[in-house]
Amino acid sequence: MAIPEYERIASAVRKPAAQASRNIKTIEESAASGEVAALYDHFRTHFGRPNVPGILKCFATHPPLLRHMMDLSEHLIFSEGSLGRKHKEMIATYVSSQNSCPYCADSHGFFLRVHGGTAQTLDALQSGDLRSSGLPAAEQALLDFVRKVNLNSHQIDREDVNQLVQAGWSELQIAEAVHVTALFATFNRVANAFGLASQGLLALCASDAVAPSREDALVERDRS
Amino acid sequence: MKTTPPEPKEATSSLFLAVVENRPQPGPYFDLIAAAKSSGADYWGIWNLLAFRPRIADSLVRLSQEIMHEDAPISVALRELIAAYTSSLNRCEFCMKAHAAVAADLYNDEALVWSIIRDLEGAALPEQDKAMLRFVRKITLESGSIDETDIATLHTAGWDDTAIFYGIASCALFNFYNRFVSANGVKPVSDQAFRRLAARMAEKGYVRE
Repeated sequence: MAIPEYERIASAVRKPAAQASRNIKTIEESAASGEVAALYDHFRTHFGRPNVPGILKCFATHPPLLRHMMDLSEHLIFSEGSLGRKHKEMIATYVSSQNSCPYCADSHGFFLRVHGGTAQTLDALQSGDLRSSGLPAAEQALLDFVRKVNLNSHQIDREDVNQLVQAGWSELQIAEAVHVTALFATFNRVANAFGLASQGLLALCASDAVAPSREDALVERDRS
Repeated sequence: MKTTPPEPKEATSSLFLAVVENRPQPGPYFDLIAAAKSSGADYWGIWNLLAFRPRIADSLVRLSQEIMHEDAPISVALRELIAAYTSSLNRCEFCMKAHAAVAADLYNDEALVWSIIRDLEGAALPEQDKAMLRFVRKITLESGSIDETDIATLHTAGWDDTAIFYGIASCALFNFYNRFVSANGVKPVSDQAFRRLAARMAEKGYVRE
């Protein structure tokens, strides 16, 4: 399974941090054995990423949990569904920024850039200022909905959903936006409680070059 | 921007998205809903969400079973209390009532559970458990300001890292469920139905085969 952002990480020379988390110890790759080592190895070969991300290491003290988390992530995030990767990463970045999660905001901001999101879009998602972002009205409407699901989900009503349908989103896409938002409400809290620091992946975008033709093709493949 | 055209209008639904309610896929939740409907019993609306995407539901409930119901150095009762307390902070009425009912079953004390949800500091709960619930509150409302002093406070209260892991995982899990449930418009059932369904969950947990 080729994941373009992981290919990018693999091509950059990076040393993994000695310990991924600040507050609670996680199982590092060099210390993994048995079922955890096998799952880490499955991750590296299946996704083609040279190092296991910190968020997965948070679950490695409990191998069955690690397996279910990898499974959920693959089916909800690292796949094209009714929403394409670009929109999923926009949601992930926006939610993670609202929840003050430096780890997820950095990694998913980077994934967004790899999947065709512009630097201006990333700035808007990080600052929360969508109105001056130049984003199409439909995407702004989706992100307004996502913000409400993240921060005030108990106030969501039929009218919120109707507005998205009016903006052109299908019910399947709306259902998926709720899934992804809710999943990041979870990941952000795990990452923050463990004290995962930013991996500095966005620095890989700073110098260049993040949108060569291959990523353009991916953008085309996104449905909207 | 190209967008997918709106789908044809579906039959009315009690959930916000008709497509979620009206297209259950084969699997355990399809069967549960069918059985409840044929007997006329109240059922948990979250089953519709799980029947809509069986592949994701399977991972989700197995994850939930591991976090909430398997052996751990923190009791199943306290984990269910974490679920109810987290849901109250997120104002998710369905999850709050469901897991308050599960916790009440496990503690055999409904009044205690609701007193904790209403006023943690004034409730008759051991200080060690209150320390965990204070941490849960911080994870839910301001996780970005958690640091090593919060973990040190839990260690002092008598919790080890494994117990803290379960506290984090159960709280974070319900931060998923609360949004999933509220944003889809899942409504509470009767108190009696909550008690009946909670008794099963208290005993067996989350997985349905």
